[in-house]
Amino acid sequence: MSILAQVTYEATSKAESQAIAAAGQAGIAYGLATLGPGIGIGYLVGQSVQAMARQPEAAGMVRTTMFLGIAFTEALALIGFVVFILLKFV
Amino acid sequence: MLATLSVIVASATAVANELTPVVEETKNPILPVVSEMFWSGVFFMALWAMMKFVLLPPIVKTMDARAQKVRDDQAAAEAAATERVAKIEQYEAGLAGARSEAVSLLEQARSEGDAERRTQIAAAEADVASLRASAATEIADAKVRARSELASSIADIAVGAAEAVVQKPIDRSAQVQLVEDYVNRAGSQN
Amino acid sequence: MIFGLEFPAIEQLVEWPNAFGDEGVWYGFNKIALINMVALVATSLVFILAARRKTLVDGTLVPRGPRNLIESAVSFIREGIIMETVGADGLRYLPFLTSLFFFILIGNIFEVIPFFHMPANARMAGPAVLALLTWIYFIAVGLKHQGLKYFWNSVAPPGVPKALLPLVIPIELLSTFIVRPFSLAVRLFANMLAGHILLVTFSVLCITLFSATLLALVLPFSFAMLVGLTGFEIMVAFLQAYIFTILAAVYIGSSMHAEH
Repeated sequence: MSILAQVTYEATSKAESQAIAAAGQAGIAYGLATLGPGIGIGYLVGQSVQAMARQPEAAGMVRTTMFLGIAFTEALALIGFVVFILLKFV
Repeated sequence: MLATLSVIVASATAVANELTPVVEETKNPILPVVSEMFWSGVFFMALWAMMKFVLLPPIVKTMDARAQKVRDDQAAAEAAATERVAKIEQYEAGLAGARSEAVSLLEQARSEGDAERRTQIAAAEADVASLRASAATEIADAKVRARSELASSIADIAVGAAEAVVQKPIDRSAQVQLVEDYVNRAGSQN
Repeated sequence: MIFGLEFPAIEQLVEWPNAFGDEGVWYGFNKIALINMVALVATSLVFILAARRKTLVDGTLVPRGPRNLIESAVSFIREGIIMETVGADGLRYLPFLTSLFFFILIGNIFEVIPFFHMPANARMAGPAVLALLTWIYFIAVGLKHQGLKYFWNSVAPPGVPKALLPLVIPIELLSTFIVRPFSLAVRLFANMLAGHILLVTFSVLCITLFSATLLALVLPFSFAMLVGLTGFEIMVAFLQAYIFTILAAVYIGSSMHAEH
């Protein structure tokens, strides 16, 4: 990664080149972190909609559980976002 | 990757430094700041206390009272419904009793009427029969009387005619007997 | 500088100077603290307004005015969160959960309120404090309902084979007592910070595109995106308040009874 960054940007100092490398890695880290939760939340919501369509009388319970599941799945993407912030701005 | 690791390590040391009161050059945007934590803690605790003792009780009281009223009204409505059903059953039972009573009365009246009619008819028929019988006897009497009168008058005429023919009295009793025989024979032929 | 965009440093987006108190002192009162104060005052005011007798129709129990709003919110928390996750036993935790919901909601909704445009929960402080309080609360509830056995019950679920316990106990310990508060805080914080950065990005884009060049042709799309994202952030504000509250309810409910 750092090689790529050095090729793309003309680094002047060591600190600056490190920051640029960190920024590139931050983008890649967050991009990777979105993949799993994206698939997970899509699957989760799709299955919940199917459940609600099959049993509309259980829709309230399914919706509550769906939000809980989304909250747990989403946490991974958010940790990725935190890593992004750490890499980019610290 | 090495750079990533080093950055993470650097951020970890930054975390460690932030916790100590040493003022950092680059502030980590993720770490909580003590003053903000203090104020949000204070305001949240205040809101919690307010909510528990001041804000929520009247609202919840009204909501519970409404739910209770709804329950009571529903129970009352259900009681009224069961009462209504009972009343309808009672009324229908009364109605059925009245109906059966009416039917039995009707039957009784009908049978009484029948019996009366039958006796009336029987009486009328008896009357008619007796009248017919008396009429028949009268007719028979009249016939007999008429026949005897006729016989005597025919005998008188025959005797008179015979006396006129023979110019001497004829034994009347023998002629009467003859005429009577004849009339009777003729009557039996009618 | 990316494509001529002057993107501000993140310190400029989320850090605010103190209104009183020097920088770094423990009582420094800044914009975040002001928003938290508004959360307290506004919630109290609306509740007090809603609790007046005037908000009932002529002495009956029919609500009107602000009471409708408050009652629907309270019954949402009662029926939609507590009854769905804990059951009727959890109704005594209504004050805590209601305060959580309103405090987080108002802290979030300031993201789209003009002249503020700063979600209080995009700073780690508020979510960390709330998650810490929730953590203390559900441990206290567990201790109250199960005594000291609570810790054993929560790290060693019944029905697990004894051979697996050395594996299960560290995992459960980590997930119950460390990951729970951490993920609660990080979820709220990261959602609000991400939304804030998203809105800032599109605002900066709009400002940059507002020029006499051909780039101004893209401006309507960028602005439409900004408006749409503002609506999206309102939804996120509600959703995050709801999720934080329902997770707190789930944690409290799970420490009331031993799993079986």
